[in-house]
Amino acid sequence: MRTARAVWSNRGFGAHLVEAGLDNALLRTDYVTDWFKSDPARLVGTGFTTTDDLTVDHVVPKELGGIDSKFNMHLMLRSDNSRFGMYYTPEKVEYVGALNAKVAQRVVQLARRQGLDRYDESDFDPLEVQCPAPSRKRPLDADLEAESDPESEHKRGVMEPMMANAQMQGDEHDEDEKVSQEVSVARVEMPHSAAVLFKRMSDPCEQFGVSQDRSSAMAAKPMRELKQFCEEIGVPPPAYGYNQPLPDEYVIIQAPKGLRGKLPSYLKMICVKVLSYLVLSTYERTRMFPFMGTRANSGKWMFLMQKRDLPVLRLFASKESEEALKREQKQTPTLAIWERMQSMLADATFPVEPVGGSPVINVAALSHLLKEPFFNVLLGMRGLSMAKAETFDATRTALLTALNEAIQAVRRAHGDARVVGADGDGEA
Amino acid sequence: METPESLEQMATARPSRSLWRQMNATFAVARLEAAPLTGAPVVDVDALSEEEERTYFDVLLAMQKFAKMVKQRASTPNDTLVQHTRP
Repeated sequence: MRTARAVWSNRGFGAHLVEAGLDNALLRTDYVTDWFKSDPARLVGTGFTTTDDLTVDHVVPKELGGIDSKFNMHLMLRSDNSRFGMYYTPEKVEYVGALNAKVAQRVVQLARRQGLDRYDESDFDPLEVQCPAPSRKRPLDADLEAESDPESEHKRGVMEPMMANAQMQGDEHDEDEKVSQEVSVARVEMPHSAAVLFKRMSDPCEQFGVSQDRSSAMAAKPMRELKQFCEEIGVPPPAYGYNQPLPDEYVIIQAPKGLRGKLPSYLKMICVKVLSYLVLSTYERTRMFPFMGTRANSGKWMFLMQKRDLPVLRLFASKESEEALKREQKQTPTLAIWERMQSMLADATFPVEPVGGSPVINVAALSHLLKEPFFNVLLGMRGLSMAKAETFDATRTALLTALNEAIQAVRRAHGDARVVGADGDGEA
Repeated sequence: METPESLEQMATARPSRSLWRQMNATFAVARLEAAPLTGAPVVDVDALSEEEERTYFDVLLAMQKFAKMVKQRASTPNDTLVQHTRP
């Protein structure tokens, strides 16, 4: 007989509820907790022996769209429940087990498609999610293998968001093939437009782009740079020892495995937007830290951020539009915008641009004869940094010219009072 | 989400080259022409050599210092360098 418990491992207790006739679609967690507490014998097979401090938690938190379904519930200690809080993190996925997490994700997707008022999970089969058709002959083996093989678990964890979608197409056969197919599946599933990306990033089930590789090889570089950076700006550096894995409170956002190319530009864009938001709202710059990957990820941009900010990423993705991103990319830097924004920052006595990190220049304090040369220096610097080989000489000349003009303007301003009239509008 | 502490921290921050490098490089990779909010041209700091990076940042600091100096002079009578359009 095929039983859900065979693959619904550890503390998944749906089968218990089915047997007890409590398998109606929507159940409150406190009701389920009481059901267990009323007869501790019901804990047999769940891994718990006592109901002390026992709670039932939503795998996908309700704050993130989780529902009151038995497929989205998990037994855990109160302390663990509090620790995870309203977050759905890679750590939580690891805690509940990748297969249970997958079932919870899928049932939340089902509820979203159907609508809560019409929600019906009577046709939902966790076995279909955990072990697609061809491998269903030996679900227990597959489950045990997956749980006992850290390498396999690791590979699947990294690809979790991708795999969740891939499985909807039912194109996997067994665990080994699943791993071997990750690359091709990821290529198929990688969103090719910002709109799709936003939709998937805003989905709490997807964790799009969040790496579960917490190895020292992945963590060392960004953590080292972050420490150095914190020391430079006088912020207490994070606790991180040499050659340690990534600390629990951090995650890295990267392109999924199989997409070793650069992060899509719109993913970077949205990260920049989130960065702006985080920096502006709290000024804790360490909360999202860009860095360049090493070794296999050499030359690829990644972002180190704190787990607690993942909901912010989702919030942004859910509100972002492709048009807004395009507008921002095409924005031309102008003297007027620069002056207005820098003046606001200067008036607020900010010595540093909150997002860009540049020293704030109080443009409004300068005469109009100085503003433009200063702005031209910035344009020249940008031109040179973005110049290609064939235009390098020309852009370097342009920058040197701009610098010379700025120096001359400063000298004139210093040395000759007639440069600017008393009302500030005089001519040289 | 704002706090008095974060505002105070923002107002007392010191411009650093590493911050400038990190943020501007991110903007450049995201292909932004202008920095969000501040409107400044985005400089791809990562494309610069170490020496260029240091020099350019020093230029920015110098520009900031000069603007501050000019503003301080504005408080003295008959100053001729300042545009008297702001209180």
